[in-house]
Amino acid sequence: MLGLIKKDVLLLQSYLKNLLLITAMFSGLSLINESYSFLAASLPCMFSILCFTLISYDDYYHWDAYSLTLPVSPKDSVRSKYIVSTCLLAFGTVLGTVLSFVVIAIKDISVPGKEVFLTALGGIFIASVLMSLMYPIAYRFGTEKGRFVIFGIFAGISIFIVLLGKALMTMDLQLQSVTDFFTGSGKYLLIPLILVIIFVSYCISCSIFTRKEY
Amino acid sequence: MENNIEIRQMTKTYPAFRLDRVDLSVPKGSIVGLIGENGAGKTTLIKGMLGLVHPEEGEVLIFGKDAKTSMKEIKTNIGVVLDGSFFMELLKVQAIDTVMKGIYDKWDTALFYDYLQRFGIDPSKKIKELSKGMQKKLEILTALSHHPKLLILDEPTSGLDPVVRNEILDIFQDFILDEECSILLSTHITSDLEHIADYLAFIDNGQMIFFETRDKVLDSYGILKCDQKKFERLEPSDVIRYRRNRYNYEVLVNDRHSIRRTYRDAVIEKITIEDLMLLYIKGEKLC
Repeated sequence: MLGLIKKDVLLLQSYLKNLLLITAMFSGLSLINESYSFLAASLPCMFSILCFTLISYDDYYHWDAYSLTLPVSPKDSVRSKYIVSTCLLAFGTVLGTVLSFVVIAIKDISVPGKEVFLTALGGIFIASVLMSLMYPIAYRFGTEKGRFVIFGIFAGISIFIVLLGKALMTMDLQLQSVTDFFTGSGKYLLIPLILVIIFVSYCISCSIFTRKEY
Repeated sequence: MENNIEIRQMTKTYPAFRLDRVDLSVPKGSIVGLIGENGAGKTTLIKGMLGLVHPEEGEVLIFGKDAKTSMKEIKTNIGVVLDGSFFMELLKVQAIDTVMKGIYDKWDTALFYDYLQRFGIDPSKKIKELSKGMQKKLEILTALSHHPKLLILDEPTSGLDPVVRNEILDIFQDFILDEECSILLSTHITSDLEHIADYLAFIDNGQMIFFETRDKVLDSYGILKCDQKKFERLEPSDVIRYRRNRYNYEVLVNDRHSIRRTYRDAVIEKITIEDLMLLYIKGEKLC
């Protein structure tokens, strides 16, 4: 399995220049817009989206079929992808958080560290959901069709959120109480929730990949 | 004689195609050529034995082990070249060594670089910078660099010029010098098989037509050429397939020496694998 991880890392190396460029652009935006914790949320998302690029390469070169001729099990193939993606997510989070503090230091303003960490946690959550959706969909439908399925799912989620917001307002519930929950004790729920989402996604991906034919 | 591969009754059904209870053996120390037209079931058979498709029925034993339960272990001793799937072209040739070291316990870096040098492949080049022939050679030498006992090759020489093809066939013949090793080679280029195959397995429309030694196939089958009168006098059981040309008939016969004794004035020519395939697939059957 180590070889599969190395393969993805080598592929990502060819993306390094682009990544640095986008990170620099995001940092510039953060400075201009004075949204100091923006990087802490956006970089985890950006780095986790790279997993879609990796699957696209695998798809294009029929790597999955080739990998099944090597002494690795289908589960190893899936596991290596989740490991690489989780590492990317962790790297994006650390980089985003550090850069957020750098921007704050450059601007010489006082922003509570808690705000940056909470924004990073939000970024990790969104990135984990994104990654957890992308893998099973890409394995099931391939990257071409998978893109449309993901757009559909995100459109559905957006509509759901809008309707939920309206319902909360109709029910005269204070949105503030919801956000207070997630910035208070609720934030501790996010971490196990993220782990559960990734684990469920991994199990579904393994099941799809094992049954898949080439 | 022991077999490196034994396939028994493999059946795989698709909406428009069925691989129907196919048996195949690949004896140790031999090269088995798998022949048949496009869509005959050669690739499905190879994919079925490697677990890339899941046959409904049948048993696959590789090195005497059940492929369903011991596939990961079996694959440590197999080198595979599939048509159209390999490393990403963005990667450099040397990246293959880095990756494969993490996959095969027996990966031999020195051997890999030795092969690269032998075939004039620059390890610092990206795969996409290599010609098609070089890329194919790279696929084959990658399959060889962990000291496999069995090579499974799907169209390894397609699209290559005769010089490169000959180099590759030489590699296969070197590989087979170890009598524990075998090659299963699926190809459209039947002339290659006439040079190197020990056995021929002919698959058509999902069914195994024959599995024979190459010498027996080339010695036994023949093409009887005759006019219509003589054709009408042939015993139907002697006619495997026939083709009516403008001036004569070409009849595919088996056991051509015996046929020659029966029809003394008939012209019976030796057959090539290509002619055999063409007559079998395109020829007509006597009712």
